[in-house]
Amino acid sequence: MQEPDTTLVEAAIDGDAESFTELCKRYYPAMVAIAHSILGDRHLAEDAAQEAFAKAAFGLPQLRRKGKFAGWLAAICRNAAKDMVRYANDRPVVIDRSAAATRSGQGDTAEVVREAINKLSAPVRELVFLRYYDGLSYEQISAVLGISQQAINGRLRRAKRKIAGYLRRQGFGEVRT
Amino acid sequence: MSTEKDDKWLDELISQSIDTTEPRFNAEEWKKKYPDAFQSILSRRAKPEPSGRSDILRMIFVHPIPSLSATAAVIIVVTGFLLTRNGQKPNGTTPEPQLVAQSPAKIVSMMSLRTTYQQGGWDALDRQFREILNTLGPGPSSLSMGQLLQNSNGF
Repeated sequence: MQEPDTTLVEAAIDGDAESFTELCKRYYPAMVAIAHSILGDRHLAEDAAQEAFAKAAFGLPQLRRKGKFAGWLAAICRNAAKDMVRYANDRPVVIDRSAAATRSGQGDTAEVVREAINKLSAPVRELVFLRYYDGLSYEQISAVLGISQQAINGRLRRAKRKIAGYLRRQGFGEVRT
Repeated sequence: MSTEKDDKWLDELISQSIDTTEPRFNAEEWKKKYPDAFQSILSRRAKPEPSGRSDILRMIFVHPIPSLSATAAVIIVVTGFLLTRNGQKPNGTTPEPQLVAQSPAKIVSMMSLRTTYQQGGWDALDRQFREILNTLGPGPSSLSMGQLLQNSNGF
């Protein structure tokens, strides 16, 4: 039986490091997925997620609604990732979104799918990343985004329709068959 | 092709296009990377309430300036002594103690003296001794030897 977030949050506020670590383990994949949807790079996304946990460690006593921890953490993570984008834009080194393509070894097809995903609005793109990251349950996605599972399903269906439409326009319908 | 097959194909394509392998949180690495954040959690641990006595002792022995520590120690000892003495004295609202002893024999008994001291402290004891002196002290100088012997011999 998994300990509820509220219990772990209260214990972490009282200085229980193990409870905080448990929260980090629980939400790390979701935070990486959120940051990945913003940064477009898995390694940078992991850095942003860790940064978010550091900020959460300091700010935890100020969290009034303990049950909303996941949503609160997600907001911190989005800000951390956006800060990294801003930092990268201020520097000559820009985030190379094609680096992921080279690593995944999928070539052109993967690149076009990523283009299709990048054309989605930020919240929908975030949902797609959350849905396709391994080890994330609908319950966790629901907690992080603060929406019902039905809403998640509806938004995902529309997102996939948009992606499929983009791929067809790029001639992938023929490739598939 | 059916919608279901379309969905499956799309799911696979998306999964292959983005690195979706489950990330694992490394707690030890995170603690090393963000020591201040980790310490901020530990610093919120409930500390046991220190007793007043241990606070005083800490003030004396751990104080960085030895002269202040010594001064504090002297103040504490003197205060303690005064408090102890005051504790033995009767307070202002206590009724005036009665003299316990009613006869010379009782007066000189240790029991009588102790009871007097317990009830009225040094002042009461002082009064008690004055009574003793009044009762047992030297008689009037005008008494003759005959009178003294008469008292002693019973005739």
